[in-house]
Amino acid sequence: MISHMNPGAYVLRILVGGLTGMLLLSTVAQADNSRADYLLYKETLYHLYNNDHFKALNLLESSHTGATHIANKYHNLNHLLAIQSSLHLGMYQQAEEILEHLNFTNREPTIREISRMYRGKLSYQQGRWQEAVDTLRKLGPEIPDEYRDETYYYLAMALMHQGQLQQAAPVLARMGKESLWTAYGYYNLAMEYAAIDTDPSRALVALRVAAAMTNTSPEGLALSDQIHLSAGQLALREGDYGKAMTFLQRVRVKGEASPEAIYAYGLAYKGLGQYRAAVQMWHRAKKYALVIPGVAESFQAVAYGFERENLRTSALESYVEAVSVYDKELAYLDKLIGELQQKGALEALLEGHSEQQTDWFLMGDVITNTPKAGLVGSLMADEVFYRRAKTVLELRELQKSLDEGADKLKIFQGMVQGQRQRAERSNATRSLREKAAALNKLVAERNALVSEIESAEKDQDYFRLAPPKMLAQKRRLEDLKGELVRLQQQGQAGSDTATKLEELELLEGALLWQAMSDFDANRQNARRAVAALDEQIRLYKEGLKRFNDRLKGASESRGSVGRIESLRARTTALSRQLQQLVKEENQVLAALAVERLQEHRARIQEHRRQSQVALVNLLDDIAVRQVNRVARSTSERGERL
Amino acid sequence: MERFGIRFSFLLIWLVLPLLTAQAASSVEERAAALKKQVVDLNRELFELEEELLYPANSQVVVFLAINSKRGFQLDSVELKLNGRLATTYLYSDREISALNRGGVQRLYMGNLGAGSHRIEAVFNGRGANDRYYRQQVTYDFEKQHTAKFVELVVQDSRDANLPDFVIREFK
Repeated sequence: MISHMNPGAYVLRILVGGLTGMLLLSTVAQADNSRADYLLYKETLYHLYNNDHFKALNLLESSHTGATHIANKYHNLNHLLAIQSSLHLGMYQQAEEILEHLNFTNREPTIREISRMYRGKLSYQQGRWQEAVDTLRKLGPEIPDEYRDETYYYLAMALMHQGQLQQAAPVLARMGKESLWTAYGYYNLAMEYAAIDTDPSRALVALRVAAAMTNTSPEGLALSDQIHLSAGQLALREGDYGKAMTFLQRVRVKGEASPEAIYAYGLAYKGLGQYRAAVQMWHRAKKYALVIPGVAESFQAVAYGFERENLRTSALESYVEAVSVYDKELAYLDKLIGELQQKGALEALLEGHSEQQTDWFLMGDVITNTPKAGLVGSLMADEVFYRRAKTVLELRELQKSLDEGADKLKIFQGMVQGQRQRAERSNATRSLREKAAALNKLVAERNALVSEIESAEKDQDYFRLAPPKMLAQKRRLEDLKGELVRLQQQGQAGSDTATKLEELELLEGALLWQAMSDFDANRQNARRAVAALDEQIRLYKEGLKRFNDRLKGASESRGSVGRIESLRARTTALSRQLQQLVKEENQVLAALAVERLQEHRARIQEHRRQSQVALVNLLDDIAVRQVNRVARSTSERGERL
Repeated sequence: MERFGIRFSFLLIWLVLPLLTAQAASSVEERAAALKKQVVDLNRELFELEEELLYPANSQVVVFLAINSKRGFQLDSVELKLNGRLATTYLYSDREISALNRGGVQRLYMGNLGAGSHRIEAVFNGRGANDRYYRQQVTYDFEKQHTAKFVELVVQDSRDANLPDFVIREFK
């Protein structure tokens, strides 16, 4: 089974660079760009570049049927980012839905071709090779340059998976000359050739091309190491030790391929019969974790080298050291397997591993030097384990995000309930209806007053707007006048009654005169009173509105509370489902890890057995020689005697 | 002994798309994908609710940060003040700086402000192209209505080869 390397680490850079480039070059872009979509696009990019695909998806509008994409280039670009994040997270159904949506709504040729590329990639990721080939072959010239190499890469890989190497090679030849996609493509092709060819020359040529395509980025350097290691191993297989050394020398000492390269380099020396140099080389590999290919072998190889150099004491010591190291590894593996069976993979390997406190100055070597980290690294190199571990870790992250969400919801619920209670307490003092009735009464009084003023103005009724004191005086005069008239009619009035009546009429006239002269002032006073009343009514109305708003707010709060409760219920249910799935997968992952560790254990056990046998043989050989030497010297002494 | 095969870089794989085996998704992955979708939807609703409750549209103010400079200025941290009061501070990691340099925009602050005149002050700390440490303050006054306000802090190229311009502007 051949694994393929994927240039994933720089996928994102190329992809988003492509999107941005396309943004600038897009010929179909409409003038009216939505600010909101622009901001969304830029903010999503930030999360994507930070490898936070969940946050990116939270931000993006991933499923909608609105028409905001018309004349809005960022809208479609946001869809492309959503597809990218969905594919990254293995949410194929969602990616499919967005692709369908774009297929239905998009009119831009570049977006159409990029969508097609993603569709091909989706088929590829789901293992539908022929479908991927058919889709990717249809790609038109409108595909932006930034996507061309990625497209050809997936096309070539799909062909390789179908065993059509003859068709894959020309596809790779069409790729860019300075692209990591090309380098990965040729590397994978070389591995395919190496698996089927007895003569490695075709594979070596492909590896040479791949090496020429790498660059000085971290991914490029790591790939370059891997290419040279593989080339060295191929040359070793052919017994071309000089060539092997040339390739292996190019593997960086600090790179992750270093232990394997060191071991292979030692093998090349061994092939040339230079055992001392080989031993020196293998010594250097001993510092790495035993799980790394070549490291466990190096312990044995050192002893073997000493033996071949006839340095028996050193060989003895080395075999003893090898057995001791293997014993230590076996004990550690037994402990780890026990932990795995007891605690599961998450706690025993993945999370425990990340929680291990390592001093910063050891971080550079932690993957290679720390047994557990080395084992985790080795397990992660297993494709099946990696996929499952990635899923479990992602689900675990989701669970954490749900827990955070649940905490927030709890806070929101308290906040909204507090608002509602405050509103309801205020409501208890007086009902809205009572307040509205009071307002209506006030308005009625105001309207009556206004109509009174208008009527007085119209009828020139000077007394109607007069102040109460004047009205009281008027009433008093009328009462007195009425009393005098009544006495006069009853014959009880005095002789001066007529005079008094005249005086009263004079007073009435004076009062009327006074009312007439004060009429304008009284009218203005009445208008001012109306204005003041209007202000009162306005304030009352505002208060009533606030009160009403508060009641409405309380009602909205009730809505928010309902919404929060619904979200909390969904969060709890989802958290439970996640827990269940994590639990199940954790067990599966633990079983898988135990299986892989048992395989490693069996290898170490075999190395230990071989070392012990070699040690016994060496001791036996030494003993036999010693006996022979003693026998020879005894016989020589006997002869002399 | 001559083991022939490919060892994936652990760190490399961690960043890689999940296509390594390129096999059909298992039922577990399908279940996981369905759950992921539900969590994303739920989180989106939660995000909307949070905005509605904590940052209503009439008082919302959001401050973004972008880097549009190709000069060698290495942003280290930002301090943000609104109306003289410290709103937030942010210390950047290498990855975040890389994300900003590549066109991403960070939502630095989200809060509430009433209608009226306001002042925003931002202090940029970082290392210039000449390897000197700089601390630059920029102030911006703005009017806010009863609508959301979006403000962007931008580090952009200037005539000075060592130090970029620090600009505060509004999204209209």
